[in-house]
Amino acid sequence: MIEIENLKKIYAGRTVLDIESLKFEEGGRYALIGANGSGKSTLLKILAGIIPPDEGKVNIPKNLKLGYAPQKAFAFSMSIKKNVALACPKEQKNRIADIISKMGLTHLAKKRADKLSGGETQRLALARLLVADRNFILLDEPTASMDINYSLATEEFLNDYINEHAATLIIATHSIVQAARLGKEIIFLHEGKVLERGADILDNPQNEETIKFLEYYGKK
Amino acid sequence: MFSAIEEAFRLIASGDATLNEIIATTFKMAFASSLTALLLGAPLGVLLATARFPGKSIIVHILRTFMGLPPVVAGIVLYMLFSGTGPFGSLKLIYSVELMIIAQIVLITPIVAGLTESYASAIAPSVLETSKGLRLNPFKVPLLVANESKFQLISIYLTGFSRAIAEVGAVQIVGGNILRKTRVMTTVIALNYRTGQFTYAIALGIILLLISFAVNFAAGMIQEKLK
Repeated sequence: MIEIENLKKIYAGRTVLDIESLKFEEGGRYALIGANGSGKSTLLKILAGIIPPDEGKVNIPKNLKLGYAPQKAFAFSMSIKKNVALACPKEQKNRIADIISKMGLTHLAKKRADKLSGGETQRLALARLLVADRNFILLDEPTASMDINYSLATEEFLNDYINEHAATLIIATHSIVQAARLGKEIIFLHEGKVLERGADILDNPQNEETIKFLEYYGKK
Repeated sequence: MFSAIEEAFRLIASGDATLNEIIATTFKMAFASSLTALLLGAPLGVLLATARFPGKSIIVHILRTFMGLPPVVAGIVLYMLFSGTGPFGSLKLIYSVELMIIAQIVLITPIVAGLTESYASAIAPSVLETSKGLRLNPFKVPLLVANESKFQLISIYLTGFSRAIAEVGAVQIVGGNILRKTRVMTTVIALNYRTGQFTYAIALGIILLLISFAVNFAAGMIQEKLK
């Protein structure tokens, strides 16, 4: 169980995250939805250990092999193959070509990664992340720069990977359909607080803000 | 001015042994000091950009202050340390190329470290976030930041080299401008200025600029390959 208690993050005097209690079951799939500035990315960064909380506790079981892909994917200025190899355990080097192929990057494998387009960089970021065995995956808008075909293919690959590794997935997304496809439970954040969570909040939202958000993004 | 240009090319064509010796000493001093400064300053800059520790900002401020260290002051301090009565006088380095190199290292290392820190600080957050997200070995982070900065490191090196090859105050004091020993282009230019041989001094300046141009051109070609 991944547990969060009394979590607070404050930037420049403004509370951007204020979560009393939040639990994630191991092996669960969660989609964080909410408008810009709702705290989705901050929550993922705290879970990933990128930034510390100002208050509160995050308890992540030690057995979990965490992997996090930030919203703005960064490619090291080396080839795609070397980027992926960087995160690949020595004994699993045979996976590199396979995952590059699955992400549709084989024809670019020797190309400098920092010269890629936004969508290609996101595919590389996922290849790099998932070349290793991980069972706790945090993704921040992982397909935001991808076209529809790659986005769908990536979701399919993610589904397979998560099933195969019995992994916990927490994904932050603006796409309601992606949240529905990848998340078994949806968590709605608004101004740093969890206002609503559940498996059916996309179809049956109770909170006024959730309804407004879903209306804006065309779900209701 | 034209006579100075003419004189410069006449000097190059003449293959003057003394001039060649001065150019060789200048090269030796500039390359040795700038490369050492790069080896010391670049890792320091990268570490300051990537590490978090108490007092870091003070160190960065001190470093940036030393970027503007007056060469004459550095020269005087080193003179006092290495002259016969100084604490390192027994090393007998005063009026040697080695001490001129040390003086340049003292002057250039803060510049290299400060400029590296400044650039690497901009790139470090993305590298750190990605590395942490992938759970890479934390010791890899400085290497990755350095790799991301390699293009800029060449420019930073050139800044250091240019400073070393053009500096006169410190090398004059610790080197003494001794013919066939510590005489370099800048000290000989200063000497010719003092003796009123302006044309010769400017001609030597033109040769110095040509050397600098050649080094910059070579570095530019390396940068092109890195693009």
